Amino acid sequence: MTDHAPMRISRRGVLRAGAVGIGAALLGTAACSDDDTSGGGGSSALDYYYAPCPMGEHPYSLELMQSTFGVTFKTKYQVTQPDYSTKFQALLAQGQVPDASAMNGPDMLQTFAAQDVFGEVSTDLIREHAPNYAAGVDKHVPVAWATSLYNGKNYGFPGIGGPSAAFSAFTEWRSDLLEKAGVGKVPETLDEFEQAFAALKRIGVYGMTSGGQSYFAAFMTIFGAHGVLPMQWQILDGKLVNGAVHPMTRQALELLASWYQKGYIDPECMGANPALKFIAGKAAMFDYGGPQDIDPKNQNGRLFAIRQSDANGKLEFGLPPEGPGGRASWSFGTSGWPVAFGRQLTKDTGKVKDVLKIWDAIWNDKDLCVKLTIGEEGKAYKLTDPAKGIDGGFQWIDKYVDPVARMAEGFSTNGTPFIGTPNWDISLQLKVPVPAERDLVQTYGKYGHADLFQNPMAVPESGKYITDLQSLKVKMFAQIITGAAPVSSFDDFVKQWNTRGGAELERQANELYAKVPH
Amino acid sequence: MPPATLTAAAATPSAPTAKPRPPQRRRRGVRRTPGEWAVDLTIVVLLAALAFVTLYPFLYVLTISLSSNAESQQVGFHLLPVDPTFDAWRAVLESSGILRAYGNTIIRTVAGTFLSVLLTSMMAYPLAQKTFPHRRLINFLLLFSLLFGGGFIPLFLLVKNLGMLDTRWSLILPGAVAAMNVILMRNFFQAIPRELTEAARVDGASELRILFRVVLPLSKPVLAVISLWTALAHWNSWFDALLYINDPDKQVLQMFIRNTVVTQHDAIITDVGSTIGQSAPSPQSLSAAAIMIATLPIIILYPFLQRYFTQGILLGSVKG
Amino acid sequence: MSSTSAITTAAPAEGRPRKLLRSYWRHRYFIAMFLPGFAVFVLFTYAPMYGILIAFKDYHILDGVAGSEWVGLANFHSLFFSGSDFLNALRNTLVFACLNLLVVFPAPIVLAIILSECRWKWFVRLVQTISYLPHFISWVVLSGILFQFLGQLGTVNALLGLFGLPAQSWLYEPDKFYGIYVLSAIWAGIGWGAIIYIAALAGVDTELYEAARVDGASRWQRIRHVSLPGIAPTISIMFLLQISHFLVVGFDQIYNLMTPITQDSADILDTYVLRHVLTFDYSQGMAASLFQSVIGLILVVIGNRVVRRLDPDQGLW
Repeated sequence: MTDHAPMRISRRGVLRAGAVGIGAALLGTAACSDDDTSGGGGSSALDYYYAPCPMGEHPYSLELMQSTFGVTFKTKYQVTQPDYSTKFQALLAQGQVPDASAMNGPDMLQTFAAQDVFGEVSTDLIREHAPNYAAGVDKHVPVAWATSLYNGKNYGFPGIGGPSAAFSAFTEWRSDLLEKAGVGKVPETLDEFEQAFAALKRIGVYGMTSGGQSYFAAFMTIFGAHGVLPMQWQILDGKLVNGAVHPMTRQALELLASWYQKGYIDPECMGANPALKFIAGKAAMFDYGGPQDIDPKNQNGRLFAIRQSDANGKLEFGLPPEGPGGRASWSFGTSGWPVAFGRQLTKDTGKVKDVLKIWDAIWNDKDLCVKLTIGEEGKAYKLTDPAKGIDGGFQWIDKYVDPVARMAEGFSTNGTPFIGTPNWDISLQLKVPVPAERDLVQTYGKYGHADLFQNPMAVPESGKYITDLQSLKVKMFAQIITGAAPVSSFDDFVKQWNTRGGAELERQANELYAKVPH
Repeated sequence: MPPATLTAAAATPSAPTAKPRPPQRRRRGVRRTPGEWAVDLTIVVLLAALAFVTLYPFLYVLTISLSSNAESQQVGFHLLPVDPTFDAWRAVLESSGILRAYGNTIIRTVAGTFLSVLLTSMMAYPLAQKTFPHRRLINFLLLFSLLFGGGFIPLFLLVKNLGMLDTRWSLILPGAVAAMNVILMRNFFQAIPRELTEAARVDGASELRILFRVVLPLSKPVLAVISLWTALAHWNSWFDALLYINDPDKQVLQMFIRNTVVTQHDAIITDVGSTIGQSAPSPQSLSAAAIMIATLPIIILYPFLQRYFTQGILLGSVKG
Repeated sequence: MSSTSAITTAAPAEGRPRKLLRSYWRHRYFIAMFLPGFAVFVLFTYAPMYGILIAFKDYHILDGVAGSEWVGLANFHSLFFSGSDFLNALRNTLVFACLNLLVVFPAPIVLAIILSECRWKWFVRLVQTISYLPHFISWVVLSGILFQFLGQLGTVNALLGLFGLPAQSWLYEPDKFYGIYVLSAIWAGIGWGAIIYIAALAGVDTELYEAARVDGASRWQRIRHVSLPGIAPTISIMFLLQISHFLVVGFDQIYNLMTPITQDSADILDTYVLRHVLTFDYSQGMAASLFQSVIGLILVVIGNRVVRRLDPDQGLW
């Protein structure tokens, strides 16, 4: 399953943060169910609505999959992420339900399950025909079984992301500015942060900036230091509550408001380009970085951008600050892109078995998994350190350096378009091909904390309320932090939150939690 | 001096007897006072300021599309690329299939615009006749359709039921007659002096002939505007292609570019590895190049249509 | 509703149906010309109209419109009353709509007239071609440019600094949002919007200008009595069309310019709907657009009456 690798917070990026799921699931394309082959059909044609991936004429990945498993995938859908659900609706409007469809998230599954689009499938069937995969889910993300449920019935099976989904974005500092301000080392606790900010203010630089418009990323490390991550579900006094209305959030907001008032926070962090001041040297810390940011030669990294205007700019990573709640930063969690089966398959379970068989095989067979994800060695990529195999890292070669060429074949470090990260053990190696960067991710991203359900949308009616609640949260927090509203208005916020669906979701979250293994 | 009436000014009795005069020649009879010079100057300054301000976004995008990876991500004016490179343009243009996508879009634009202008004018001209039966009802139907719509799913089903899925017709026909265009054309036709059409009628011309030989040539401005609007709409549209077209051979340019840019953007953004991005164009450059490649042809089209907006074209087309 | 027939002077004894048939016959060539376009129009705009019913149903996509359950006004109810910020969104939408009508709408007209008054025609053509360019750039890019220019480190504040004035936070203050909206809407739309008026001005008889000049009319008088009346039909049509979409204010523009701090001022019906309606919830989406359409219809009917009172020949129907 895809995770959300550290990315630039652009407005669009933030909006799509919850939805960037390249390679979410298998897509079968079945016009109208042609052949009915129950019992593991070898020649059955699958109608598979798969994750966004405009593939080329003869995608390697697709063809390998077909030949290995003896299945044909009918239509090659050429859809990208923004148009994914529109196209799906168009298919449905014609009366065609794909045999298997990758869902953008549990909320998408819930919405369409409510419309009787999908067919009920027993979990026993899943466990029987994809035993290794099921065992993997049990072991790594047992809570993921919730994502294919709706109203107590099961409509498919969970898709889980690899361990990389558990990591968070990095905290990064302009160490040249820290030096100028006389701060010796990269701050590690909230108090040290504050002292550093005060010193930075004296040289006319903002202490920190963050993606203020984002429902999840806004000042996430500061909240994390208080033991909360707003919009995630967590346990308080034995019950589930949402981090947005947790008492410790109020404390975090108070701290942030005082920092803002003292001039430690960039006032334009609520705008379209929060990293701007960081790159320009007017803010010293940004909380959404990635391993490419420290490589001065990587043109997508921030250090490269910094050096364009300041040849002496320096960038260092740091850990999320430690505070009364420990250390934490946001990660999206490893579950949440379920695959749902069309309602025509409740009788014809042959195709269900086919799909399960494929997932299971890929989960089990590392070589096949590698081939489907990144192609053949020597042709699409070469190993950096052949002695260590895939652990040693790899590089794209020839035309595959171009992402579009890779997509055309169905390759992606996020997994094949048909299945998400298929194999837990090598998923991180596939996702981060450079071992040095992998180490960085494991060092600086390890405080990633995900929601209890490993996906905030798992709660049944999230789709209905969550956009509104997110918007409310972003607005209120922005007002409190910038001082447009007093910290006491947090109580008012909690009240509004509850009336606008928060209380209902809380009730459902608790119900759901009781039902799933954890 | 008498104010002109609300209806087209050409309907004054003196019109047929006026001497034909080439519209462009400047009159030298009236000398310009200093007051008038001041106004002239102000006008020029205002227009120049406007031109500068409105040119800027376009220049900005153009520059970013031609900028190196590093520069495109900088904050700055981006008036001219410091280190111009065609990498981004190449990346978009070299995507396999783009020529076909371009071709498909050109076909749809030309055919669609032509059909649209034809059908629209053939519908608007009768409506411009004050005695046309059910005129008010039809006008109301036009307006109503501007306000209310059933959404994309019923339309999609209709297209499917007509068997037009995955055909070029699905891109051309549904939008061929746009209510707004009919309304505008009707209005322009109404302003054409009846004497001209009556004269042709008396000569024994059929209504169709009158439309094509008399009315349309006199309506060049509105035809130019509607052609421009329609052509642009066709050129830019992607939603209908998304819904109706599955065959990649028939895919249109915008859809194609959308796929490419989004794909590249996502690939770069979520691909943590630094193996890519060393020389690849930045997402900003790619999007910018895509915008340029997609919109340039239309922008180039406009100056050719501008000559239809010259004043006095109405009179100029009437020979004595 | 039959046409006001100025030609027929039928004897009172003739019945309506016969009058109609005679009218058809008299206009037979016109009708023949009219039908193909009309058929296409009716087919593709009215056949799908039944989709409006979705607003009154609990739409299940696989059951189609007919098969979905009727729920009456329930969708409207949940749309309006599930969110306490509906009234705020409505209020903002009205403010933007009025600003659109009063300030943004006239701007292209003014530009068209100024262009026609300029003596150097090559310059006019150049400016015309340049001025519509922003129309081709999406609001994502335009807002990015604005954030840069109006930001703390941006040009505008730098200029203010030169004059010793304090820097302003242009995009992060709710009160300033309306001004930014109007100015940026004009910036992006004035050139493209002027095209139709330029075309209309091209149709004004140059003889009238000459006549006015000979009569000693000043430039302003010429504009008032020749140019404006000449394009008044076009203005009234565009005005009525604008009113019909009264509640549809620039979603892309506002969405991209909005920040959490200005959200209370900037939130409009469309952004409200975006938050309260799932991407996949067709019913509520239909309800929202139906609401906007009904308001637009009411307004345009009123507007049309007013216009026809001024001149019976104008008006949309």
